[in-house]
Amino acid sequence: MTGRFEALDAFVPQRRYEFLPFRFERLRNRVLAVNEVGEHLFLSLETFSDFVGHSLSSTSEVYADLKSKHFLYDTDPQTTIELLTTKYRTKKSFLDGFTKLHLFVVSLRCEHSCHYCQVSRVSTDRTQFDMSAATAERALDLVFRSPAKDLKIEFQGGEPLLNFERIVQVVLGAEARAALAERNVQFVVATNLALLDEDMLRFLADHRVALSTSLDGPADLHNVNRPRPGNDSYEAMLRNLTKARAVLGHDRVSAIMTTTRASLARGPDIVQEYARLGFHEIFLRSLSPYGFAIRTARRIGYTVEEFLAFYVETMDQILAINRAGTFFVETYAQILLTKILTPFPSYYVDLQSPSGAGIGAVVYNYDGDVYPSDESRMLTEMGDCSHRLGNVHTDSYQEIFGGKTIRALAEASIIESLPGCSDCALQTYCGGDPTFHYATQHDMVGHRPTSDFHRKNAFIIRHLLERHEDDPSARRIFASWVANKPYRELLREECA
Amino acid sequence: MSSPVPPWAKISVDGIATLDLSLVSYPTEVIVRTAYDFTDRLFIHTDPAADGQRATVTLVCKRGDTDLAVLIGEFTNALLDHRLRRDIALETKMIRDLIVAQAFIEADLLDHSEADSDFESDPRGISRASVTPR
Repeated sequence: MTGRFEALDAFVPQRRYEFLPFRFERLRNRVLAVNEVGEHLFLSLETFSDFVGHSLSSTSEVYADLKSKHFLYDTDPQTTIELLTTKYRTKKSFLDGFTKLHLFVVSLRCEHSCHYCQVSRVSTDRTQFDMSAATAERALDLVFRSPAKDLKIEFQGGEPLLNFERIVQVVLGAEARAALAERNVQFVVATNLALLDEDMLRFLADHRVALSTSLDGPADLHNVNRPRPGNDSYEAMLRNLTKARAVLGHDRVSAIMTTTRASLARGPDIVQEYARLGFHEIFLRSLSPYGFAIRTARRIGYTVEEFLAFYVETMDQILAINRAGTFFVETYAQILLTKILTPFPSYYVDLQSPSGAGIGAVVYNYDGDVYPSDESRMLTEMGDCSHRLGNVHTDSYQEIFGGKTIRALAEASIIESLPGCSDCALQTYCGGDPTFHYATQHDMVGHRPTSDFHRKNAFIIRHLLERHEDDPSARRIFASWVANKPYRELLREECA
Repeated sequence: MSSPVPPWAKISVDGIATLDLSLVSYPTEVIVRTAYDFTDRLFIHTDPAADGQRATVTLVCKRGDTDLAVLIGEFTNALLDHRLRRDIALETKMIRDLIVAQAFIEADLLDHSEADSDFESDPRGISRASVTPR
């Protein structure tokens, strides 16, 4: 031939292809294959059989897909290994900097008495359940022992606004330390908003503190789930939501919802309420098996299957809103889709391997006790202090963050080596949750075939993967969620 | 009506199934991994024979309303998939270990002599290879 390019024959591999590491599972009439860094392909049964039998034609389109997505190699694999190494390191980059999220439980007091509260709460007049100035100062010392360049401090309760003095102290103290140590620090207050006043708002605005509130749906549902004296939780939240948005900025106030039995039939109403109030996202959260949620489980609880039916139905509604032109995200799906469709990790501690308990996030309780998660704090409230990492007044940074408990939690949540997970095709997208399994199965590793955590996550991950594969409009919406911008904007950027 | 019993299994009148498996086709690791996946539905016992060539797997339903014959079929198909997973894992073990080690280690485990060399050293012998004549 004459010309500048080789004939096609010149690109035909000269050797038999070899596999790169991947896992697979059968999903109905096809096979899902996922490689070591989370790239996935759906293959027909016939193609899969040819592929694993080393008889796939190198001129087929699927061969090119399998090669470009790193399921096989047919030349020197060094460059491919280098690429996979970089992607693997990126997937695990949530480990960089160690503990980044530091939660301060500044008060156990709360004027709400939510049926599902996983946090223990006491009445508003018992100030011995407030974090002291000395405890806050000692906890701040530990925050700044963390090697992370970017830190986030979140205030929780009870209702943290009941001890606003401590929030002020921690924000000012952290800002001063961050300036000296050349760190970046962000602040969030998780509050029901009911007690928010003008002075608080001014301080929060001056120090760029974001708010995260609770919204369970329309007023009737919200007020049933979240009782308070006067039965006006929704009205109080709404009143202060408007004020907070006006002062802090619209997107500086986010909301999370908790699903109760009463929510199951109300998915579309809940989504509509979020959209009506101008939120662009909703996190469809199931109940946690801790605290008051256990005592009220018979009244407000449901099975995993009931929750998943609710999730799918509500997701349909959310996708319909997006198709109609409104950018509206389901946050849990967004977290998972980021893991599925990009090389990037999730900073959601339950979906990490090892779990982020202690090494990604840590909780400083009002009394100075340190826990790897809010859930492990609840275990102590339920009489089991086995997950307590130490106390800010009596234990050193090394003892708390390098002790036996935090190591055991990490070891029990490395899903690459856990029974039932090590072979699972969904492994790269999922995570370990040692505290959940300890609480529900009395074993930090857990028994995957009967684990609600496993059932829920495996179902949702498969649902998202199949929807992405089979529904072009859902694929476009998912792309916009991962990019965190409306699809039209995404297209405009691509065209430009 | 219950499904027909696969010919490679026996079910006793007490509803206890036994499978006689070749350890060459299904190494112990494959049987154990498969068995683990079914521990929500079955009580499972594995008993390797003294000669190390075969193993007997005993299956008992945890619930009375389960069709044991169907579960035997699913169990056997799952054995095949786990055998395949093991083969792929063995074939790719070296590369997987290298990827994980290289991702976390500070030193470089890969041989860069080729990538770092210049055109004069020609490590791939490009100048010597006779490509399609122009």
